[in-house]
Amino acid sequence: MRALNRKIGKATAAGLIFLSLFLGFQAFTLRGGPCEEALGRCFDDVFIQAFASFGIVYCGIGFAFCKKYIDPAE
Amino acid sequence: MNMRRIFMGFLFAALVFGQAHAAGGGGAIRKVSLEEVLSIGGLEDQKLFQWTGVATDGAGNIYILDAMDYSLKKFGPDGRLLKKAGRKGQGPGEFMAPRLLACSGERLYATDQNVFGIYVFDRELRFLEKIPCPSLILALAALGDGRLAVAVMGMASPGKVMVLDADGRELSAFVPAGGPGQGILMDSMSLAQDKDGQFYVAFLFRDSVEKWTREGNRLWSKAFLGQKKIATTEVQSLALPSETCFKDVALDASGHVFVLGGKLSKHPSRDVYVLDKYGALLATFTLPDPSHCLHIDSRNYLYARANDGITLKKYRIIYD
Repeated sequence: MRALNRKIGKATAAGLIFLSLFLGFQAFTLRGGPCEEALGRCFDDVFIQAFASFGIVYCGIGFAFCKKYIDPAE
Repeated sequence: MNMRRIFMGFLFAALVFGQAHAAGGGGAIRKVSLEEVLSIGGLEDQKLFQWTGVATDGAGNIYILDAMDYSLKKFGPDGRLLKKAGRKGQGPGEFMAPRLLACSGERLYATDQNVFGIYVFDRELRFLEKIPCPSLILALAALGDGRLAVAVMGMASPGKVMVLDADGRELSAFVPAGGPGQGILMDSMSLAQDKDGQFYVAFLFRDSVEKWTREGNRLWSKAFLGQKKIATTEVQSLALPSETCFKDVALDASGHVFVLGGKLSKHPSRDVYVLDKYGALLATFTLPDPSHCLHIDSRNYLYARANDGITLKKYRIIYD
C-alpha cells in the first residue's frame, strides 16, 4: 500500500513537472486554466519578448500540446 | 444453363462488392466496439510515466515516447519492455519534451516540442540523424520511402502541411485554412494520409475534419460538434481558443477515418467518430479512458491512453 501511495505521489509530481515543461518553465500556479496560466508566463519571459513572432509560436505550440494532452477540465 | 449464369453473375457481383468494400472504406459499418487485448504500464510498475507518442511496426512491436522519462521505449507484441533509449538533453538522441512518433520501414521518426527537426532512429532505437524542418511541428505522419508529412505552426502566416523528403527538403505544401474560426492557433491540427496520398486533417480548435489532395485541393469539410464559434480566453490581449474540438485522426487498414473528439465531445477526449472516405459518419464509439491520441496499426488494433498517460491500452477493433 505504501509502495502504491509512493507511485501515485510520484506520478502526480511527474505530471506537474511535465506541465511546467510544456512551456519551458520551472514551476506554475493553478490560478486559471493551467494551460492559459502557463502561456501567460511564457509570454512574460524576457527571452520570449525579445523575439516576438518566434515567441508566439514557441509559446503557442506549448499551449496547443497542453490543451491536447492535459487539459484538466477533461 | 440460365441458373448457372445467374449464379455466376451473383458470385461476380459479390466479389466486386467485397473488393470495393475492402479497398474503399465502404459504408457498411453500423457499429464499432473495442476489445482490450493488451495494457502496458500501471501504477504498480515503472514502465511508463507520461507517454505522448506511439508507433508500431509490422512485427507487432510497440514504440512509445515517454515525456517524463525523456525516452523512447520499445515493447514487444506481448508488452514486454525490450529496449529503452534517450535521456534528458539537447544532444543527438536526447529529448527535452518528446511528443510525436511515427514508424515507416526500418525507421522511427520522433519530434521534440521545441526542436526544429525530426529525430530518426532505427528499430533498435539507435539514433541515426536529425532531419531539419523550418518550423515547429504539430503533427507528423510517415508516408513511406523516406517521405514525411508534417503540420507546422506558422510564424506570421497560417500553419501548413508540408511533405518533406528524407533530407528535409520541401516537396510540396498546402495551407488547410479558410474554414470558420480564423485566428491564432486555430490552425492547430492532426493529420493522416491514406493509400492514395490524400490527407485527412482534424483541427484541434475548429469543428472541422477535412480531406485534402496532396496538391492542396480541399475535397470535403465536415463538422460533427455543432460548434460554429469556439469559446476563447484572453491571455495578454490575445484571444485564445479555450476548448478543443478534435485531438487526433487515424486510418484503419480499410481506409476508414477515426477522429478523436476533444473537450466539446459528449464524452470529452473519449468519443471517436468513424467516417468513410467521403466524410460520411458511419459510427461513433467511446474509449474507456480519455486519450490525447489514437493510433491504428496495419492489423487494425487501436492504441490509446489510460491513467493520464501512465498506461497504454491496445484494443481489437470490432466492426458490426
